[in-house]
Amino acid sequence: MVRFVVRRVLSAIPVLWFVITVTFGLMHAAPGGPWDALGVRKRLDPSLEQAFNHAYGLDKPLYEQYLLYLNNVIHLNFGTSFQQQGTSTISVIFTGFPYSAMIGLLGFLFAVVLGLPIGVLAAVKRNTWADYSSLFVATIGYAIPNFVIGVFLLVIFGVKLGWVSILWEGHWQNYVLPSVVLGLGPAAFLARLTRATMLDEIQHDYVRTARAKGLRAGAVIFRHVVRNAMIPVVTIMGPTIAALVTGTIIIEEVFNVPGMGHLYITSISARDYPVIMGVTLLYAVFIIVGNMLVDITYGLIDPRIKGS
Amino acid sequence: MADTRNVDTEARQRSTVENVFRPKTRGLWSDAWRRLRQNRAATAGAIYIVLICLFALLAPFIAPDNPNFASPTAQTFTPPFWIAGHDPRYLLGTDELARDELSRLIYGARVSMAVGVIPTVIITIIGTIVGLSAGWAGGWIDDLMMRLVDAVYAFPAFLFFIVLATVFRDTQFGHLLGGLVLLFTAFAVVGWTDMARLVRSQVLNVKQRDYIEASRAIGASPWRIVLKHVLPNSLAPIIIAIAFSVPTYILAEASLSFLGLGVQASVPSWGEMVFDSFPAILSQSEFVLMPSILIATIMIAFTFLGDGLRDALDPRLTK
Repeated sequence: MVRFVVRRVLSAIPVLWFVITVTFGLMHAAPGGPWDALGVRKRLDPSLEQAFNHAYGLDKPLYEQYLLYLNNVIHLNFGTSFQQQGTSTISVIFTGFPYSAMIGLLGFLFAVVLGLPIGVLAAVKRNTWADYSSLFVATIGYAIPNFVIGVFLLVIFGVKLGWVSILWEGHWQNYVLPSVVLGLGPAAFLARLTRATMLDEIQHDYVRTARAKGLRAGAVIFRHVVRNAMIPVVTIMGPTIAALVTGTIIIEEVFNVPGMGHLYITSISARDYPVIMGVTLLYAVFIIVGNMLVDITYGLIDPRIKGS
Repeated sequence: MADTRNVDTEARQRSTVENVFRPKTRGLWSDAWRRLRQNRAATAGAIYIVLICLFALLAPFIAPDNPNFASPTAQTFTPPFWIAGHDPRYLLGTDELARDELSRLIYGARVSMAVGVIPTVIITIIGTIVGLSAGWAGGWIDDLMMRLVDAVYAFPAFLFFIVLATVFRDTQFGHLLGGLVLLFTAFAVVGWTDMARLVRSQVLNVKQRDYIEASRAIGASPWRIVLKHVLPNSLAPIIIAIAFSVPTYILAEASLSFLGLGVQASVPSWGEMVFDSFPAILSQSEFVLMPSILIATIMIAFTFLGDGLRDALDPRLTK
């Protein structure tokens, strides 16, 4: 198990290197630099621009900047923001991080708490109205893009009913809609998948054996079927976490959340290189760690996979 | 002569007996087609998609107005017909720049369909070629290609789209076809890996079958085996992947445009229309809702069709 974990952690390093290299290359391939957008489209004084470039090392050849950045990242130094001068990238990111993390976590909980029971219920009550209606709702919920659902809910609860504020005021009420919207798609996906794997498991011989030895229906379902049906569901948690992480970018724009996604969009248009790199890396780390946790839990749930 | 007739009648008799006692045998494709037509949700989805395609193709003939023309006599945010105070010239009202909303929605279908279909065609071609050659050749070619696929796969796609769209938005390349070429490129650069993985795994699966061994034994060339056996046997999953790929890119464009990073402002796109009217959501929510509803319905239609195709083409799943 330990070897497995270590190997998974090490395999993340080339992936992160690839993400850094591509993002670095793309950002510097673009015309225009970080000082263009300062103020109201005002050009900086050339000598000042030179001084800025020198201070941030932007006058060095590109490969040198790249190697320097890699070296800094290895030492967990992500530089200072161009936009908010003197503030380190990490502290800039952490002004938005708590909001995004909260919404992402609540969204994930919402997805699991809603999606799994509905999937189990639909499978147990197969071919009844409960099954059909939950499957239909899940398909619709899965198909409609989350920002569109966000827009619909914002119009209903924010504009027509006036129950929630359109602007971000930092109350707990502000977290409800973004989390629900973020979690709906994954919830629908989980429900569909859980139903499918449950139906697959229910046909197995061990279920008949368990019933034959007189186990109550509830015990058969929860102790045997659900446990086995969770294996494929757990594997899909990785992409689900990735969807939640990147999903927050667009959800934050819909609900005016001052989170990491919002920070990302503003720093990209301002060419704030260190912050863009930092946020991209952080998102990539989340996605990789999410996938890694899934692989490890997978090994814990299903002993057949252990050690492989 | 008499002999052949005898054989003929015998065969006919046998086939009548078989027809009576055995269900009619059908091929994979006609069977799949029958199952697809029986699926009401998939049929409805397909009809809706055809309808939107027609809107996209015939936009210049259907649209009542120029989608980019702000009439000097029109007011901004003329309400749509179900709200009091609407202008009969503009069925669905006018947007924040006094442009005809209906025409913009009709032209928006063009962007959505183009952005869904064109990258899908590109990734299907590239992915099939890479997947076929990696799976068939094996060895170091396979290793190299799959390393590349893994690396691209690990990059969070939406982040890549955002970075690429922002970086190249104001360049000459970013302005080609109103920004569509940039989107096509971004989607294709990431998307081919999924298709390559899929085709490769199909090839590896088919490659071990006995009938491949048999055709190799009778001296069929590798090209013939790939084109006559491997590709047709991988076709069903490819078709399913195509059906799910088109809406993925429609959604990606809508999402990017909603962030203000999609097509250029001169091109009417549904996602961009949501973005444009979003600041006025409190007073003009109808203009946010109209394009949103179109995005939602086209996504539902493609999901229904994709699910239907999957159920129809993969008999193992329908029990």
